[in-house]
Amino acid sequence: MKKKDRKYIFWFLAPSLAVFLIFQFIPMIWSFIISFTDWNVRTLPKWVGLGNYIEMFSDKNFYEAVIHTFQFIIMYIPLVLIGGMMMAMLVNLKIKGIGFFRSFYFIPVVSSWVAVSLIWKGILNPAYGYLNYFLSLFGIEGPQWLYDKNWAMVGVVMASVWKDIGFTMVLLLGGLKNISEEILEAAQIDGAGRLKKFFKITLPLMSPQIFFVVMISMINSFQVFDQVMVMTNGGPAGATTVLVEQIYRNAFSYSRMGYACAMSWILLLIILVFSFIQNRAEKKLVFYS
Amino acid sequence: MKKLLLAVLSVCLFVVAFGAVEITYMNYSALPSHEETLKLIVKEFEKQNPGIKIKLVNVPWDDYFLKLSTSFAGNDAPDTFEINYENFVEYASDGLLLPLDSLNKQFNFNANEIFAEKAYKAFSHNAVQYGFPEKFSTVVLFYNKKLFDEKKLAYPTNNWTWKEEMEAAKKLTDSKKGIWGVYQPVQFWEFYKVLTQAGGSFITANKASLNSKAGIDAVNWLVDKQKLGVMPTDAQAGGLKSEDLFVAGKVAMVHTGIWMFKMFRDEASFDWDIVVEPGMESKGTHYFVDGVVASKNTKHKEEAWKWIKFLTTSEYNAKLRYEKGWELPAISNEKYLEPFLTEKSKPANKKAIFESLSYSSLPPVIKGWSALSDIVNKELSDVALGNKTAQDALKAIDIEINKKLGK
Amino acid sequence: MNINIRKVVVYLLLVMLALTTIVPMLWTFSTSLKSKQATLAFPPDIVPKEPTLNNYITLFNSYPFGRYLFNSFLVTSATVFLQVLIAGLAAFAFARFDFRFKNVLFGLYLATLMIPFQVTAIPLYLIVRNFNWINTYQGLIVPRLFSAFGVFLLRQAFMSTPREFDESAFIDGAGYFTVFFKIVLPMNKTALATFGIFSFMDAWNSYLWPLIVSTEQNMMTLPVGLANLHGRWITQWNLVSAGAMISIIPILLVFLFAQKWFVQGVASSGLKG
Repeated sequence: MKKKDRKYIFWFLAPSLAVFLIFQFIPMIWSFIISFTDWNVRTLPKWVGLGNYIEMFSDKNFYEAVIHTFQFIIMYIPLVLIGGMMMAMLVNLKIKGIGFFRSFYFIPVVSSWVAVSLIWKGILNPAYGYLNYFLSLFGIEGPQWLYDKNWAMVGVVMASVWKDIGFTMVLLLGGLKNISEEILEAAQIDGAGRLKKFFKITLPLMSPQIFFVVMISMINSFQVFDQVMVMTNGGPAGATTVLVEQIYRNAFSYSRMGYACAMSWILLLIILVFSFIQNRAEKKLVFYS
Repeated sequence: MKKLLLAVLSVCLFVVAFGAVEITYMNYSALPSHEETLKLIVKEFEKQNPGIKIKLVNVPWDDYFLKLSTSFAGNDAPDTFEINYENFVEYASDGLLLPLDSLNKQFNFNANEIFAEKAYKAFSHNAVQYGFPEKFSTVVLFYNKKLFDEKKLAYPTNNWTWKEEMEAAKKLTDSKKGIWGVYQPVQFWEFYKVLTQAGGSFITANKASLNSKAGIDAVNWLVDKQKLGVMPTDAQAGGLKSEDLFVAGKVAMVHTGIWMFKMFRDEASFDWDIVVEPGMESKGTHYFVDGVVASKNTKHKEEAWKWIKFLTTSEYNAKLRYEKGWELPAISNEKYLEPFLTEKSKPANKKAIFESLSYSSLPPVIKGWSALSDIVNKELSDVALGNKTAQDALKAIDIEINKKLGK
Repeated sequence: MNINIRKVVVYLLLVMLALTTIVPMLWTFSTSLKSKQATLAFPPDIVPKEPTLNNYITLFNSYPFGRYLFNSFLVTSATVFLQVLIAGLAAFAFARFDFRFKNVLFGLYLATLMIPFQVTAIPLYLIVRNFNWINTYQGLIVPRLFSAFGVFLLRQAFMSTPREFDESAFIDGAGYFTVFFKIVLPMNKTALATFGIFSFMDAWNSYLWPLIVSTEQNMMTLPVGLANLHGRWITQWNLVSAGAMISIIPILLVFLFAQKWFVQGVASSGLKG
């Protein structure tokens, strides 16, 4: 490394480093310290050592929240990834008015969860909703969706995929745009079929974007929160209670900030483990041009 | 003369230089529809108390305690703030509130004579008074007269028990027209009250033993209405609240609070009235009370006291509350209540409010209160969904509560 | 002939998808034109029977919605601009330089995405309070200027930008800043636009932080103001819908404006070797 480079590195990093240290890093460390205390936010914290972490292992609500969070992720990520890929390829077609459609598909992403939840509660309503009506046309009796412990999370996932698919579409579209026409044309001349082109050229060339989408979607979906609060409030009978919802309740509703911080650090640990696994996979699979 | 002028002048200067004392008042009940009413009360107070300015911080209920506790964490607590009884206990035991007894004495204020006893006592903790009750509400049984007339049924009376209510509910239910007999939410608030009606009590001798006959009766009373089809399930309600269904004429009787008067007056197209809620082994009703307190560390104790006293006792405030339908001031003086009782607006049977007060009990309050209510809600909804028996749910509730009490 | 049928099928698909995505928007719009009474109809009317603009008028008359809008615009545009700049600079450092603890630092940056804001909000509040920034624009803006998502996204994009361009610029005597501003940024318009949109959405919809840091009406942003419409017992969905419409439209406009950048990948950015 040249000496001059160091000066540059400093200036490129300084702004982000400053904001990061003061407004993100210190609060994070602080929350780590608080995780060893009992703190109701209003008065001084009391040191409890590992108490919060130990309590977590016998906390039924915490276990349920972890399980439900994983349930959400397992259903959500494949759907939002494959769906987003399909949408991205669709809006990558060079036809008239495609920009217009692209904007349409982005509407759910910008809509507020409050509005989206109202709609989806309507669609999923077992008695009057469109979905069960649609299913009944095929002679299928639809479930009670948000009012059934087994189906409530599926309902939340459907609404979430619908809302977020435009987000992955946009991220993946950036990758599609970067694949040059010449490569695809060359493949065509070599006699490659549609599927072959997709799996041998498009997919490998897009692997950085796909990796990125999986990573971000995973980090975000471990923290699924808004949709649960507005659609089911964790119900019915706790069937959709998730980690960040438990963290929020403990922090602000039960006055147990220390416990909420401890949960948050366990959550961070879980996400770290999965990111690490993914990082390993990236090194093997991702192709940088 | 000159000296006097100088004195007057210097007082004026003092006021100009240092300005008025500003008292902040954080509250949750002004939003979304009573902001203007509160501003009127502030205006009147400032007129009567020159030199004190009130700064309002209106926060929506859902975020209220988040903001309030954050402000305490940052040493920015408001001088005065509104608080409900359930949370009052936590704030008082944390030692965050200003004791009022000596200020009452200083200003010769005989609080006992002014406030309704039950309401006033609710805001004392370990024999120290920390707050003035601002307003109260009770839950009563509302009924749609038109639907009763159509089925030629006698209107409910204050002497009804669960039996009469259930019989009427069955007759009122008309599935063809999509009308249900009754709506009583399956949740913590209803449960604690229904438990009293069934002759049980939540916590006795610092221990919960809800898994009893009274407890089981109470749970069954709540969930049976849905099982028998006289009350819509959450799914059938289609996301509408019980109050909305009542206004729409889809539910003949609804258990809800008197805070709904305004909406029902404005929106219901039929005649309606109220009665004291039916009981079983005994009568039992809710008592919701909101109070106003001052922060222990306020720099302006006397001014804060004056403001919360005005806010809770002044005739002006009482009148305004009736006029605007903003719940009821918790004062015992009947002179204030007369205009309310005699006015023509619905409901006709306003006496039921005060009658139900005599059966009322405060909700059980323990540390970590909202965790408790979440637990009860979760277990109740498991029973309602048919996943658990009443007994199993109550067992689970007992365990959780006793775990919290044991701490 | 064959091509035409394919085209029809594609358009049909596009329109059907568009219909499913526009429904909530239309729904919200329709509710925003209803009276309180009309919102109670069940099943609800899709087209309001007696449309009215009253909800919008109420919003602007009884609440300082103009002020909320202004605050949201100011805070959001400042946040987006600075976030993109700061993340861009950091991403360039990660993509182009090697330095000690590079991976550790990048990991720390990413870790900020993994801790829920709910538990860092209060310490953040205490820090900002120490700066005396409560109820100020800097209090609303500065603490949110760091975006690990942005650094991550842009680093990814910069890494795919061939270094040959840098080299040829160095030969012409350019420094790193020239390379950054004149070459790397223009070549990554897609990524910048993508991040810009998300940064905009994030800042525009941000709720918890503005709620905590603003106590005065005239410092509140749109989402915080909108929450004021929810009561303890009753929520007027017609008013809430009108407020939601007001808050969605700006983001849509920004997206419509920015989406033409998505079309321009490296291939068409005019910088072909």
